[in-house]
Amino acid sequence: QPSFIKRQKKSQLSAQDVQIARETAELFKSNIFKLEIDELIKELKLKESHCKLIENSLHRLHDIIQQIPKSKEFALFEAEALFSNSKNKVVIPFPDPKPTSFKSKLQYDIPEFVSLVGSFGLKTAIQQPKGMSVDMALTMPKSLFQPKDYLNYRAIYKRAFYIAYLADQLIQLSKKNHLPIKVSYDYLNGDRLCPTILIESVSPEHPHKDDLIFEKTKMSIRLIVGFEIGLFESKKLLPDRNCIRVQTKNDSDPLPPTPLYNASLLSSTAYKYYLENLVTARKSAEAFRDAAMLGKLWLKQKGFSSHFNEGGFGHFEFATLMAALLEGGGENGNKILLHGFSSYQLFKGTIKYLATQDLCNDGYLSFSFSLDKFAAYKKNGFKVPTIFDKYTKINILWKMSASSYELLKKYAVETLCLLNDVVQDRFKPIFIQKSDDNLLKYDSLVQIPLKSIDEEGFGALEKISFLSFENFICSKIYRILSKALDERATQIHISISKKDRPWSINKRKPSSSDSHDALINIGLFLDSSRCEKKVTKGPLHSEKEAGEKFASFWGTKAQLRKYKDGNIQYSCLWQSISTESTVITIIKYILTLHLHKDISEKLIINSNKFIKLLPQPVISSKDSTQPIILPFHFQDLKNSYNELCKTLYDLNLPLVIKSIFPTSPALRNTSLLLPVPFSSSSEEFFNESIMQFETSAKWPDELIALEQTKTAFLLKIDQLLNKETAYKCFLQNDELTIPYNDKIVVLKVLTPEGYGFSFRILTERDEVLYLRAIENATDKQKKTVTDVYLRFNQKYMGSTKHHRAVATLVNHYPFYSPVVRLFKRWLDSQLLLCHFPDELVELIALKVFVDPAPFSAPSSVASGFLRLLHFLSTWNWKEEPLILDLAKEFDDDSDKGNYIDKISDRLTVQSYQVMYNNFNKLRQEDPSAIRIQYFVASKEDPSGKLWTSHRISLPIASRLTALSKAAISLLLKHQQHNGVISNKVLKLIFTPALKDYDFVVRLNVPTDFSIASGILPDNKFKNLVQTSSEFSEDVTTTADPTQRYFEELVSRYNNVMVLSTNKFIGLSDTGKVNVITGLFNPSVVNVGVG
Amino acid sequence: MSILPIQQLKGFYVLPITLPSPTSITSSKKHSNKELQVIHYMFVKKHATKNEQESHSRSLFLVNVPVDANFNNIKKLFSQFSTGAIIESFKFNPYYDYNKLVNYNDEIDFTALSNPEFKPEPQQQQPQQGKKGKSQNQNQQQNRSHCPVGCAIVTFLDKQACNFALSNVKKLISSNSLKKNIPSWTTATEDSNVSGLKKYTASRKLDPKQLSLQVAQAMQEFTEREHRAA
Repeated sequence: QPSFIKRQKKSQLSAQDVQIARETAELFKSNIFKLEIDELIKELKLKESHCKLIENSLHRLHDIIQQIPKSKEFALFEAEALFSNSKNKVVIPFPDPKPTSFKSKLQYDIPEFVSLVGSFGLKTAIQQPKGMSVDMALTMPKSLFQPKDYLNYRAIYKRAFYIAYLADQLIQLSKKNHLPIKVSYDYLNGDRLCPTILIESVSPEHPHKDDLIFEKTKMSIRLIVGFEIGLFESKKLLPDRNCIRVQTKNDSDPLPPTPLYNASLLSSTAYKYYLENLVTARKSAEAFRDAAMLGKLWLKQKGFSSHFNEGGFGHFEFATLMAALLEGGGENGNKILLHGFSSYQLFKGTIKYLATQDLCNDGYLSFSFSLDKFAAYKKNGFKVPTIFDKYTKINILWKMSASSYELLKKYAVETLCLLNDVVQDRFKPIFIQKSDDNLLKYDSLVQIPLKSIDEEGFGALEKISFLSFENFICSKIYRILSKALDERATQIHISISKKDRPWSINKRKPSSSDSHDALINIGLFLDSSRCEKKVTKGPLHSEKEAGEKFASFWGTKAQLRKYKDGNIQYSCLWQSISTESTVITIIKYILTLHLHKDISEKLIINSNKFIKLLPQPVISSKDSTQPIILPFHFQDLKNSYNELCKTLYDLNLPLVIKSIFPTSPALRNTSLLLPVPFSSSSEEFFNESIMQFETSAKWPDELIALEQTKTAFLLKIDQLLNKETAYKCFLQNDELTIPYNDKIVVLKVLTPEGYGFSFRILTERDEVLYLRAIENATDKQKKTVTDVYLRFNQKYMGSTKHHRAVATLVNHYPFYSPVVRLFKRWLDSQLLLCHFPDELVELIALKVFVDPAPFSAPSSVASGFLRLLHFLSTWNWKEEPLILDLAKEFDDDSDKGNYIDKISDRLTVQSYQVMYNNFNKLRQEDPSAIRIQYFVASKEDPSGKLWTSHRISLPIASRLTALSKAAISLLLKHQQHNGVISNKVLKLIFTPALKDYDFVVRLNVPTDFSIASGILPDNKFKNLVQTSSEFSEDVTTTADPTQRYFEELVSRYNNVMVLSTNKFIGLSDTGKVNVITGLFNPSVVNVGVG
Repeated sequence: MSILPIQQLKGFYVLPITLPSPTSITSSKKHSNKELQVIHYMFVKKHATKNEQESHSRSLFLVNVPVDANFNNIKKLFSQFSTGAIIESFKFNPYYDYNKLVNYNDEIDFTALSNPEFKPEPQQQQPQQGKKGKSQNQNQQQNRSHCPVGCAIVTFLDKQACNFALSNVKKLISSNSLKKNIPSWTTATEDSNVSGLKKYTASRKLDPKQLSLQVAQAMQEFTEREHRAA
């Protein structure tokens, strides 16, 4: 009995220990996080002096407003005449539809309240590079309204007049009161029903000493005109009510609800109400203010704001949600956040709520700040994102669409993951790194010029429920695409590219030319394992009704197909086009069908252009096209390789071959060129492997003799293969790989299928002997011998580990292979690839897949490539190590229990710390990164320098950073201009800047290397290309001579200059030209010779 | 191209030589031969070591030697201005290191390092190679340690010959008619018989028969050494 108890106690203890250890890690992290947050908050706070100045200005403005006298009552035509006769020529900012006859009187009266609202009022404003606006709410007196004014824009028309009158008076009075300002109209968060007055400070030509000028604060003041709370019966303005009565063809049909109109009107009554309640929340929870600032920053970096076009979720919505969660929010109304929480906990709790609760379909959050304070999660959502205020009857998320809500939720999920990461500090990707650029954040961006879509279908009923054509069309496209793409896309985000700008008070609304070049952005986040599927499956043949629906949606594409499992199913079959992703094909088709018949020519799609940059293979027969992911070439190569390995294992040799480890990029799908049979001129033609024999005590105990013994084995294999099989082989010297060991021989095998493989032998003695050499070396020799050992380690051991790790990840990330191939092409076009080992390039490219924050793992060629460039342009390698988690299992499910935790091969805090310390040590020895520039570590290489310690030099590393910076900024600039990245710009990015080098040697070779390397030249048609189907007599003579020339030059001159060349001559314009460029090492040149 | 007016630099005599122009350029008619004359500067000095003082030396120390230098073309060069000074040997240490790892100041021999017991006798440092052409190469490798990278040592038959050659160098570079009489360099063609494109597209296949012979011999030597060590 006692022993049993004891045992149980012990096991309990250990479980507790684990728990404590986890909590400590969490606590430790949150402590560091807290320090970082404190620092950040300090940075974010507005300048004291600016606040003073703006407060003074607000006071003066307030005084001016109080001076404006009550006007008399005007009829509509009188009001218009009043302004057209005044000298300021103010126009009343009536929304569409502009009133033609209006029975009520229009009048101005001194506002009931004037109060500061928004983040400035809440004291949670943060510094923003583009400046900010301070919101001031004026409440129109109740006396100006009648109870039914909530109907048919009446209140809104009255407000429009009020605003115009106010603007007119402000212009007149501000001068007298020494507040030089510029007044313009601006919509509140893009709400067409709610114009506001934007006041900017200006410096007058002849300033007066009393003039208050707040220009330098970069702040502007926004006057929002609202109504008194409870002015209208809020029940009548519930989201499902209609408040705009229009004539319809059939009067018996009920009118559609007008949720946007209702919410806009109700929101206008509640500015002051929400501010007061948020202030109460701020006072009740000490960290509320800081957390609200963090939330605001987080949303900003993700491109979210309260604006219609920016997701409709901004600082106000975040703060209100947080305040509600302090009151409850759980399914039983239990509190999600506690008042004593730190800013980190408040922020994390709110993010967690956004990430885990479905506020759209499954349920919604209902809350109230008034007397009976409560908040609870209610089941059965409204199919629109909802946080409902029971008291004011406002859905706080009324400006959000289903699409923007999905996006917000996705960001919240990703951020929660980062917040839960106990291994690495994730502060930077959460708060510091901006990730709102359209070109970078989406996997694929499709843009449609707004003007190319006519307003057909946007009738009276649509007008009242969507308010603007933009809202209408975005919602329509979203509906079409989410149905068409289904599981191919994880999120579809549709927005309008332009943001309305303030407009002149001399106009009723912004001129339509402003929106002339606006684009509809369709941002797609794709599911990498599903997006390239060639078939869209629909309902079974037997489901008649569903089948008809499917057919009417897909039009002529829909067909019945019989599958292997016997099912007959409605399906669409998509042709594979090697330069266009299937998703784009579908979008083009379905938008043509449902939106506009000529739409596909007007779509702006940049992602295809990146796919076209992947070298196209010469194909002899078989399929004429190949998919973007997993082209069959790699599989064919692997089949041939496996056959060969089988043959090798079966050979009758003095020692049995124990293992053969591939190390070649093509065998892990990462070679720049696709393997094409008989393309023996390609630099990547021979695929290397490391061969190991069974253990033997007979290997010589001396390095060079050992190498000779290996050669003896290779000679034997060479003889056997040549004699007994269809393989052709030969031996070749390898003098370059390991310095001082010039006796290395490799076996090259040509297979009957047309592929080439190369084998070198590793024995269990090699490493021992190299290590012994280090021991025996004199002090002077030690460094060199150690470097030689590292070189050996790289070539014979590191490469096999790397291959294994990457070969696994390649299957998990379908787009990794094309992205890394495109990246290699870019590096080669910039003459950089010759400086980087393949392994390093592949590891760097893995970064955006295994550690994608602040983005998500890319699911398209373009997004992967661009995010890679973006990462390189921002990577400060002098101070930041690149530590990669190459784990094989990927689920971020933290509730897996201890058993899984133990066998997981994810990076642990300990191993991360070890690598981090290695980096610190390295930089202590080499602070300016002269010896080793990049530190790239993973569990396969904790030292971080295995692949980075040779051949790369400071100028090359700096050049890569500079080039990626230039490339990414050029691309972003052109994309932002009008959406189109022209082929010219892309070509420029893939063109080297030869002027930067001290000298350039241009090389012409007599033969064309493009087809001989298996590359289809850009300008040729596949059927006109002659491909070879046999090897030449001696394949070593058909290799690119410029590479061998380059090797010789490097061997002779790399101590005085940095030489670069294109590795793939076949990719040059004609396949016949190459360059070798040189940069003199200034220190050597200055010292002179001798 | 004008000739460097400096005759002496840090104790070295500056010897200009003309390099032959690549055939592909000379054949084009645009340029006259004169314009294309490429002048290369070598730096010459008496060779001295710790054990051997300058006055006793019979060698010259050359810096910035053309990359294809060998016994034959260095002989041809000296014969142009210093007939009769017989050259005995030529040691040259060219740069050759693709990975930027080789330390030219220190000879590293992995045979010796990986198993000190097998430290070979000096004359047996490298296993004998079957081909004649490679023995010279082997010679060069042996002498690397005595000769810094990119430099060469020309040893004459006797001290007089050496002094004679050096005085001829001095005479040549101080003469007024140097411009006309710049000695010319002959490209090494005896060994490899190919240059340019041919060189870089030459076959790299090893002859299995010769390789077997070489391996067999190396193994035999290794066994001998093993026995000696034991």
